[in-house]
Amino acid sequence: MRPKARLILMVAVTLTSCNQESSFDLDQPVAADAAAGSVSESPVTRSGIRGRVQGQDGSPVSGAVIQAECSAEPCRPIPDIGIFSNTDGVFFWPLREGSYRFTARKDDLTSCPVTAVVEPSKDDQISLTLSAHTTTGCPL
Amino acid sequence: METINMIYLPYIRSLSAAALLVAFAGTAVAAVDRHQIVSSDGSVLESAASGAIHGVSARAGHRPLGVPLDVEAESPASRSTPSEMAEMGKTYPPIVPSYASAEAAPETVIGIDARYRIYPSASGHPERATGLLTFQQGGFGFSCTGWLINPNTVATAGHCVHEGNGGSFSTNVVFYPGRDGASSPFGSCTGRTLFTVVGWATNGNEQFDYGAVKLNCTVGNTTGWFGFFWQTASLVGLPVQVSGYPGDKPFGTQWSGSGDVQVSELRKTRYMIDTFGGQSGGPVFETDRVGAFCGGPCANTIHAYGLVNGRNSGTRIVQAVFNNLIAWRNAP
Repeated sequence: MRPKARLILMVAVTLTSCNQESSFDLDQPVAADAAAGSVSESPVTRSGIRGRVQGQDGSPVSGAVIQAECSAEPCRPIPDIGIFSNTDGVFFWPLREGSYRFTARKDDLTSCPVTAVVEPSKDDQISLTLSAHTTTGCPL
Repeated sequence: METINMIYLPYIRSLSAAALLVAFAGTAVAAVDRHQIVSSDGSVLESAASGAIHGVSARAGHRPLGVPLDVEAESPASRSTPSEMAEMGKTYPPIVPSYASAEAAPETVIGIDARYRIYPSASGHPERATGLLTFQQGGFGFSCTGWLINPNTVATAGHCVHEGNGGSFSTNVVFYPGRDGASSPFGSCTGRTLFTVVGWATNGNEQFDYGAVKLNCTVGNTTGWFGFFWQTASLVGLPVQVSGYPGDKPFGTQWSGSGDVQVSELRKTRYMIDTFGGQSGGPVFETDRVGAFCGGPCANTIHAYGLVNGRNSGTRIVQAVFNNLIAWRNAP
């Protein structure tokens, strides 16, 4: 590549990669953990998982906290928001696309983990049943 | 023709280069500033121009003798009755987990749970300037954490005030400063205006996940508030505390964890300090900063996300974030 063409390309690349943040500062530290930052730029969607928490008799359980964990790479950041089932036992977990493992807890009761895939076009619902067992008693 | 080419090609190439530069520059100028403020009431608010200012200091609250503790709150201090707690618990319930095995440990607790309970009434400032934030999105109830940055402004995560990615603002936002289990020693205040930025509200980009709540009260005069600052230098190694209202603990109780900032990125910090759902929006702060820019309890990050690659993370207060926090503080 000729020097002038290389210069033009470099300038163009620099301009296109220039961040619009008003505070963009070349003195800012570069990410030390590039792998962790690599998944950060993709926008989240208002996708998520709807679900219902129930007792062993099938009755809705309100006030259970719902925990979401990444179950398959690439793992995306999960908001540290408090998610609880409502009076109908229903909850909504806003999450990005991906595969997650969900567990419900209330007092000394725990549900077995349920794995579900979050996709924008899908409106899947999961069911979490509380019981006194620990997760070691859950099917693999 | 050959001669013409020899004469004009460099000129033409220069023109092409110029056109290319203008085109790219035009694109750059036309792009939206992702720190541009968005407000729930549609009010237009410009980011503050902080210039050389890197921080504002914390301030402990004051309460003249004879003045009730909750004088500044919209709703009075209270100890909820059993029936009121039961009603609230339907939406924001008490959680007492049984961590019988490592498998049952929450995902954002790293190894052994090292969080410790805070008693805001007894602890004073700045614990009482941290509060429980409850709100609704899409008809569902959620909880987060917020922290006062002046008498009537609460800083928090963007996803606590707005759904993000083109969604809607939260509704029924209520802040309980220093909430302590069943007790609201400083009462509660309603959010009257919510703020976030385009990067979160429109793009849903987690690196712009921050916002604020303007309250219908000036309870910060009683509780005090946090300072906050930005710096271009890395924050790695800075000892910090992360406080909040985790959903895996008895409802309404404040917990905290301590450690160092482990990764300092352009717009995020990462740390191995235990958190749980409900702590989003909490302050990541130095408990008693004596260094430059800010004195006292000084936040440098707004906690927002659980584990990625073994670390929890938050939105770093860089200059643009600082400028917006100042603008939100100054908003009427």
